Amino acid sequence: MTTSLSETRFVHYYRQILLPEVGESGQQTLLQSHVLIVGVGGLGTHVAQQLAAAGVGHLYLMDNDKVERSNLPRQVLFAAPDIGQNKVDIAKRQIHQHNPDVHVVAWPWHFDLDSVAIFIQQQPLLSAALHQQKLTVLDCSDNLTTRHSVNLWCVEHKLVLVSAAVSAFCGQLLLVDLQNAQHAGCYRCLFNEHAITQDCQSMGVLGPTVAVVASMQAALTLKHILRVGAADDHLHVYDGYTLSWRKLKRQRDRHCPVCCTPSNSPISHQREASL
Amino acid sequence: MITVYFNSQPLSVPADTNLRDILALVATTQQSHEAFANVAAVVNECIVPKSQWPHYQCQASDNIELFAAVAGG
Repeated sequence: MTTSLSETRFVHYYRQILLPEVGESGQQTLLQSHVLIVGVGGLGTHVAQQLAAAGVGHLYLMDNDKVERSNLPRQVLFAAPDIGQNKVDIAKRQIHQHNPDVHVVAWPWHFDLDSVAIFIQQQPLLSAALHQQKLTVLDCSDNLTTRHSVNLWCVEHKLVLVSAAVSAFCGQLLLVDLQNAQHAGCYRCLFNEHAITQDCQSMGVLGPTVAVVASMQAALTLKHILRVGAADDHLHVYDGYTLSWRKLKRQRDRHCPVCCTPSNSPISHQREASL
Repeated sequence: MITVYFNSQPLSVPADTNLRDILALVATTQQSHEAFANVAAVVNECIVPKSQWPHYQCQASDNIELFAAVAGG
């Protein structure tokens, strides 16, 4: 059951509420939603800022990095005086200043299956959202190992994953939703653990390229939370040279060791859905 | 023989060629063999999972591309 928004909140989010796809109930949905952001670097700072501004009510930020000078051209929540401090702490402070509606939890740890389990254990709201499958996970990390760990964890917990990556002039974005777009598979269906990769540290990147990809990640996340349109089943590829996007249709790998194990098989999902 | 397009370049191959054969054909060095084993293959804007490469029978005018993973954030 949803209650109506306060007058202040109604005015604050008025331009979003005007959209028929959002409305007052959609805004309530956003305020009650939970998003875990893995990696608070270029993508993570942009996406956290946009989701907080839109009124996503609970943001959990996970990253063990400290702010470095080389981060400043593209990691928009940080400034020179923040150098040397935990990224998640600065991001939390900045987001709270911008929108006090948002409950932000900063967790200065690197994501792996052990550290996220401890995080969940210590955060009752996050734990409840996880177990009710009301948590959306955003992968904004900067390496393939973490990307595969995040994907595995999301598949195991039947959580929706919005994964974005950027390097040089190229961006990639996909939504993994095995409940509503099972045919599209997971991140492991696309790239294996030994995939050839491009990353920002070795290839470089421009701030606006990061911002474009992050904005698409935020848009895809809001669309998912608000249930606007069908679950996305593409790999979106951004070309920063031509300033254009391509949509490539994804399909599940029937031999995927992550999402096609017996516990994640289509039959087992259907059985659970019917219970 | 049929003509397919690999990274926009025309390539003549026997009519019964599968996607794995194509990648083996264009991988001329050991390094590219290894590289091709770790990318996503896209045929006519659709991703073909690696386990399906031997089962995908190429058609005339197929547009075949390879994508490396982007990992930066």
